[in-house]
Amino acid sequence: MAEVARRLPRAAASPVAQRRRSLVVRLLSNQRVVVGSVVLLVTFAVALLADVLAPYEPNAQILAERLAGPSLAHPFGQDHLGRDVLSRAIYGARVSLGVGFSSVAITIVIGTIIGVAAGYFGRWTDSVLMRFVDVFISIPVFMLLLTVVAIYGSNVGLLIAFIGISAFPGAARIVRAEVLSLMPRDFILAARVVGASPLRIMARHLVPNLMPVIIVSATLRVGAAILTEAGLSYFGLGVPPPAPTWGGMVADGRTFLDVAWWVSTFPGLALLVVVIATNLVGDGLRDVFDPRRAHLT
Amino acid sequence: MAKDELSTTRKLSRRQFMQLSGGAAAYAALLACQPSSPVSGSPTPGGATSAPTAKVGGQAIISLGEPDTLGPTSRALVGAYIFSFIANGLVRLKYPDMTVVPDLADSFSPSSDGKTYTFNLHKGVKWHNGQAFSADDVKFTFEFMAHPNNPAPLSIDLANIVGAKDFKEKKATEITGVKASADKIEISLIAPSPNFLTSLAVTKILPKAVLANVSPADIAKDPFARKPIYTGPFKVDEWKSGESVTYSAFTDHFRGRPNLDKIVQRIFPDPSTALAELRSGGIQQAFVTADQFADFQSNPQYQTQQLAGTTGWFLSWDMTNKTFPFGEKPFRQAVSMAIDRKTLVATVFKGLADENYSLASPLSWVYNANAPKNPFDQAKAKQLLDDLGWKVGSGGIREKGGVRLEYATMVTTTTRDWFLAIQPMLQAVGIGTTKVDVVDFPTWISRLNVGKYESTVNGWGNFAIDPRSDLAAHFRSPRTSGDATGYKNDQVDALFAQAATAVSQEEQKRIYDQIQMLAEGDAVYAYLIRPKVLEVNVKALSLPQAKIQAEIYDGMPQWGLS
Amino acid sequence: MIPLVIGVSALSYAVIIFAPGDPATLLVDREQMTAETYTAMRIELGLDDPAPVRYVKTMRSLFTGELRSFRTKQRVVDTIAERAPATLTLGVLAIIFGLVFGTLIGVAQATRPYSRLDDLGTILSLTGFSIPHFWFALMLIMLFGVRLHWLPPSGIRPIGSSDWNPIAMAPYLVMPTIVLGTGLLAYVARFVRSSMLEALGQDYIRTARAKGLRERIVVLRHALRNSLLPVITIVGFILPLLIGGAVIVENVFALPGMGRLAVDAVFARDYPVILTVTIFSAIAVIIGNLISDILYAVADPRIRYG
Repeated sequence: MAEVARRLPRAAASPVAQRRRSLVVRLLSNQRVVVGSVVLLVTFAVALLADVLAPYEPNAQILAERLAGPSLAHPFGQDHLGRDVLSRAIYGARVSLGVGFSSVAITIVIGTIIGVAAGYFGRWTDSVLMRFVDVFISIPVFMLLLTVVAIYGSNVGLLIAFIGISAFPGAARIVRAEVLSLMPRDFILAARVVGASPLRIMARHLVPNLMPVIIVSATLRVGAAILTEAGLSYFGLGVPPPAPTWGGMVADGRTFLDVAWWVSTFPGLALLVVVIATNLVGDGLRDVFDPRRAHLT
Repeated sequence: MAKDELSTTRKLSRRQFMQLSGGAAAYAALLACQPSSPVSGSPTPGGATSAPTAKVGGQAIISLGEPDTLGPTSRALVGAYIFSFIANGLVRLKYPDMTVVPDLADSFSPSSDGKTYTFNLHKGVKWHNGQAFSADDVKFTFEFMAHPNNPAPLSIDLANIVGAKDFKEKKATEITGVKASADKIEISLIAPSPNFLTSLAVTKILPKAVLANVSPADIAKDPFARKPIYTGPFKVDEWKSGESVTYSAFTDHFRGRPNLDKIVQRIFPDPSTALAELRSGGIQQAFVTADQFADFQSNPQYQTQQLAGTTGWFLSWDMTNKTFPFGEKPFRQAVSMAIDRKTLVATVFKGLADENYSLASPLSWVYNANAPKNPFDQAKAKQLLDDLGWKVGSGGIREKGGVRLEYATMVTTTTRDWFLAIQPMLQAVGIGTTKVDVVDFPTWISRLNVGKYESTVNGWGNFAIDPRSDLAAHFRSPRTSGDATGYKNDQVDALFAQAATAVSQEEQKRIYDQIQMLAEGDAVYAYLIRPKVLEVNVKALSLPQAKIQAEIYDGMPQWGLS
Repeated sequence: MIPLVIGVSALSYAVIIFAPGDPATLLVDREQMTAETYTAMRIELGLDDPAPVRYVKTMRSLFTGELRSFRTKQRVVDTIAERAPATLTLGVLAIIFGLVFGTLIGVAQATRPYSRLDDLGTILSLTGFSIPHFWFALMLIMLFGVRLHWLPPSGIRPIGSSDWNPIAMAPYLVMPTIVLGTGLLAYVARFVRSSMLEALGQDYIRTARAKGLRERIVVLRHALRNSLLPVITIVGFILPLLIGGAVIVENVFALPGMGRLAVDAVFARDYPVILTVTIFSAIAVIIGNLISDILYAVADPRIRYG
């Protein structure tokens, strides 16, 4: 399988179309991808249908019933403001996945631009961009993120941007490495001979062939982004209320762990399952696309 | 982060005390007219008792925040707690009524004109390093604080000492108004001051022999800041940064040795960890939240004490805001009347809080029980808003001239959930409150100081300083620090000016009563609650009974194992 | 390495310098802030110089050791010297834990691919990798510290001891090591599994088997040896994540490390401390990468530098 994946891009024509055919078959035969995808799809559905599925309004408080345990009316119990944990967990899917996917989108866009530019132009462009990436990669990201979020605030938009930007160096490195391996191939050389502009070559020939690497890397990063938001929530710097996130719910519930375990346990499990699912899908995709890059992504 | 927050909110320092200006009433006498308080920190049945049977020896491990420094420049509230058992002043404050009682001075008396105080020093007092304490140390302490190299400006009380100003300006080589003789200190004031003794109580006396060659500008950099030498019942053994501070009994303490041999203060960044340690027996004493308290109360292995809430919380606004009616008194009253404090206390605080209606603590002597209050009255709140012209519009939110009554509230992680509980109450009278700005403490205080906010949940800790300064810090204009509210009432300001020159103690009380009548009548704040401070310790450890948290630490020498 | 350090310091400095809110207002008593004290504080903190000047000044004082915390006025290098041992100990233990158990799990999975054991290994390592550190840590504390009393819930050493006695400290470090090392463990297990599977399909393994060597020897001596080498590079790559994890782990377990120092500094806007901790951690990451490169070169005879 691996051999096939590596050889395909060597075809003279842009190999995207050829590869696409067998891809679906291979993906479907990969158990991890299937299991992970099903979990993710269900979570997506829950997030989209939150308004229908949630039995209560996620921010509706019944102060008199604060920290009430699981019951028929509230299967996951109620939190420290008497809010329904199940409903908040359902809406939490929306916010957590939203934060995860949008921040990864930012990571990928920045990472791809820098990686492609560095790989394509080489020489000083490459040196400058990669030294910049090196600087970023040696700073412990979470520490930097903590400082930045504490100083500049944590509204959802900023938070997504910060989490997204903080992860770009890894993506840029992977993309650059892939670009370097694509550059000497026939279809790129052919495009250059014909006199295509750099922008066109990048957009039409490079980026489509980068997709496998990008998709794998993106999938694996979604879980990391959700965990990062949880880590920031621990310090009170996560997505601000009233929007519920799983990480924030676990962080809020931790002080009641001994008197009301349900407040943090259910959202924690949801978070755990979804992050595992993104990893399963990412791992599976990588197995399908190219098993050798295992430790880079 | 509640602990840090409180400590920075108060930012207590000795200098704060000295800053206050006031009349010439004898402070202690004022306490005679202290109103009986509706709030009290009564111990729970079967709770702690004072420790007459406590054994001598043993150690206790407690949870307490990390101080910034243990030198005289400490600004953290926890620093004040620690000083109360490692250091001494000439006099000290007795909690909770804040009377001035002897400490290093056995007795003290003002001259008939109130301008000269004579202190008879206790004999045989020793420093932690074994050296003998003398009147020179006292004089040295004043000169250290008023030293030209000391970056802090002269506080008002310090400047009131004869010769201090000349010393600060290098016109004199000593403070002429502080005279040391064998076992006597005589301090001459330029004008009589009612705050003088209170300010002395927080002035911890420094050892001349140790610090004579240290520039006051560098005191925080000196080893003294980490391992200080004072005269208190406990001495600092070791401060392990981020881990613990160990104190051991000072057996030569002039009032006798404390019961315990050792106190270890562990530093927990996360209260959940401290709680786990308290449950597993890793620490013997800590403060917990209302949700955990009941569990410890019913557990025979622990003793608990409910202490009076020293911090009052309230909603405040930037009154200079032009878009929203924050500057209008009926609006502020309406907000206060929209808040169902009873429910808040019963639910969020499990009954372990008091309803708050005033800036001054009901336990303090300045408190005026007759000052106007705006208790829960939803109908009246709606009426007031209607009368202001803010009519209910779409979604139940009030509108006026195209503006929706929907403003942002700045909160910290400590106050966030309290505000979330209040939200529906405000929503019920037509105030939109969905814009919640959660910021960390430094951002909060910076924005508060420059008035860069619309509304916020604010807290003020009483009992850290002279209760009169609680009022001055909020109601007097211009405020000495950043101005959070923009509140200004000329009559109130005139009264503060009057208080500065008022002579008799009745006069002081009367003026401060009036200040509260006016300022609380202006509904500067919409008061919320005063959460009780909930103390838990293992049964084997006995603590003196206390009314407020500061007493727990002040009474450290009486702690003992049974 | 030096350009990297300059880059890191400049970047961290830039983050701080554009911060809204004024550290001077935090440090002056609210009660007594007058224009005078405020200005004095700004001058003392050097806040009135232009940014590049401040940067150079700050860097100079940082490397001469004279840079002092805004809050405690202690020399930052002294504080770091006090805090670094805890973080280093924790980091090294977590790396050892991750490498040893990650390899064990990975090898076990590779010897029986697609079996129940393999699935279990995958789920275990993925769980460890996907659980928020603080939640994992608190649940361990609740279980082993509070319920079972097997381990002390927090701290780094027994009360009253000031030395670094490994035996006395061991019980304190078990839970923090597990929490911090689990992420690395998952990476290593995943990597060892896939590279073992790849190696086991190679010609030289088939040759070894054909020669009649026992399966154990084939797996351990031939396949594992060749799969382990690249694992070293994972450590280098995961170091920044490990330091990020330490920030949380040290906070939950109340360990006196650099991660906690960083958090305390952030919430006090103690910029000299934030800056120094960031730069020191970056230097640690750079050195860590260097070491892993060197180890890789030493272990792999095919790589020769120069």
